[in-house]
Amino acid sequence: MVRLKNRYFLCKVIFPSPDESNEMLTSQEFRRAIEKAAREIFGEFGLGIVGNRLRVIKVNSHSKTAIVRVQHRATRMLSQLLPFIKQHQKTDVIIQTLHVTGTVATCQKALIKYERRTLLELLRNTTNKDHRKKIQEALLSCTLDFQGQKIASDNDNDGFT
Amino acid sequence: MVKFHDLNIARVKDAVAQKHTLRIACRLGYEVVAVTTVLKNGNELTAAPPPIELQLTKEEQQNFQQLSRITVVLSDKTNNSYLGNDKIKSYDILAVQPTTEKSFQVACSELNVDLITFDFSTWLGFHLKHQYVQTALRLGKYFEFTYGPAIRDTTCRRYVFQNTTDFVQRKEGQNTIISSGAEWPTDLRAPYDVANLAILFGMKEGQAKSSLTSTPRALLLKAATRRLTVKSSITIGHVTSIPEKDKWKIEGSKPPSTDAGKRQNTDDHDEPKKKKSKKLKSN
Repeated sequence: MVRLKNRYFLCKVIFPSPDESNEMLTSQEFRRAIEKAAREIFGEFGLGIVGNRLRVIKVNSHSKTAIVRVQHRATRMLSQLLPFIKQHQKTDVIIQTLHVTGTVATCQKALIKYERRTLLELLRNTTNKDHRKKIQEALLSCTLDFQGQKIASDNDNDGFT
Repeated sequence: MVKFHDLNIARVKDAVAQKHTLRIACRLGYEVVAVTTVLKNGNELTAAPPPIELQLTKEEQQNFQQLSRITVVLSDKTNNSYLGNDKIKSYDILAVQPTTEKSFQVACSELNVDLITFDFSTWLGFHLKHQYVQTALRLGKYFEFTYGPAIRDTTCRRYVFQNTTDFVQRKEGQNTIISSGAEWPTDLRAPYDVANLAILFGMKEGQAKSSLTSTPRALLLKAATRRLTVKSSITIGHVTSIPEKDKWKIEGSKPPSTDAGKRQNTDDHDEPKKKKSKKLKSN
C-alpha cells in the first residue's frame, strides 16, 4: 500500500493597507488566489501539481490564519509561489508561511502555539483597559486550572469557518 | 540569534506610507532595515535623513534597527570623485548601481563602495564579466538584487528570473544579499518566504538563508569600516562618544574585571592595605 503524503502549510495573511484590516478571509478566495499564483509562476504544469490535493482546510478570519494542504510533491512549489500572491479578493495581501507540517494535527498544534503567543503579546502591549479585559477573558476561556477544569465557560464562536 | 535584514526599503516622499512600510517590515520579522535614497545624475545630494519614529512595542524597539543607505546610479559619464563626500559618509551604507560595462568595472575595482546593486527588471545591458566579479569579491564587496520587481510587475517578472538565475550561476551566491526594494508595504515578504524565493532564483538553501542574515551583517561591518576607520585599522572619535564600558581606556584606570557582575573601579584599590597590627603580648 503506497502512503499518500501531504503537507500542511500554516499561513498568516497580512493585509498591509490600514483601511482594509477588517477584510474577511474566506477559504474559496484563498484557494483561488493560490491557483492564480500557481498558474502565473509555474504555468499549467504547476497548477496541476499544486492543485492535486489542494485544500484550504481551515481559515480563521479573526486571527487571519489559514491551513492549506498540498500533496508532498508540491511542497516546494507552494512555498515558492506563496510570496507571489498579491491579492485576496481585490485586497492587497502578504502571505507569511509560519509552519510546514506533515499532519493536520501538528499544524493545528502550531496554530494554537502561535495564537497563544500572539494573545500574550497583545496582552503585554495593550494600553486600552477594555481591550485588556477582553484579551484576559479570551485567555481565561482556554485555560485550565490545576485540577484540569476549565476556568471560564467558552461560549464564543472562535471564528473558524 | 539570527537577525533578518532588509537593506533596501525605498525612500518614499509620503511619510505616512514610509512609516507603514517600516511597521510592516518589523511585523514580518525583519530586525535590521535600511531606507534607500537613490541618487541619479539630476538629483541633488543631501545628507542622510534621520530614522523615522515608529510606534513599536518595547521588545520590537530594542531589536529593530533603522539604517540609511544611498544608491548612486552610475553611467559612463558620471564623475565619481564625490563618493568620499561628507554627505555620503553620513549614510550607513553606500551602494552603487552600474548601468554599463565600464561603470561595472569601475565599481568592482576602483570605487570604495560596500554594495553593488543591479536593476534586474529589464535587460541588464551588459554582461557580468567573471574577471570583474572576482575583483569585487577579492576587495570584499557585496552584490545585491531585489525581489520587489518580480512581485510587483508581471511583465518584469520574466526578466527578474532570467537575470537572477544567470547571476546566481556565475557568482554561486557568494557575497550576495537579497532585499525587497519595497516602495509599498505590499512589496514586502516575510524572511522565510524570501529565502524560498531565493531558492527559486537558483540559490542553494544555505546560501538563500545566509543572504538574509549573515551576509548582510558582514556587509554592515564592512560599511562601518569604510565610514569610521582609516585603512580598517584606526578610528577617531570624540571623547564624549565613547560608551561607558570603554571609558577606562582614557581615564588611565585599570580595566574592569571580567568577573560576573561588573565591579566599578572604586578607591579601595588605591588605599594602602591595612596591615594587621600584631599586638605584642604584654607581660
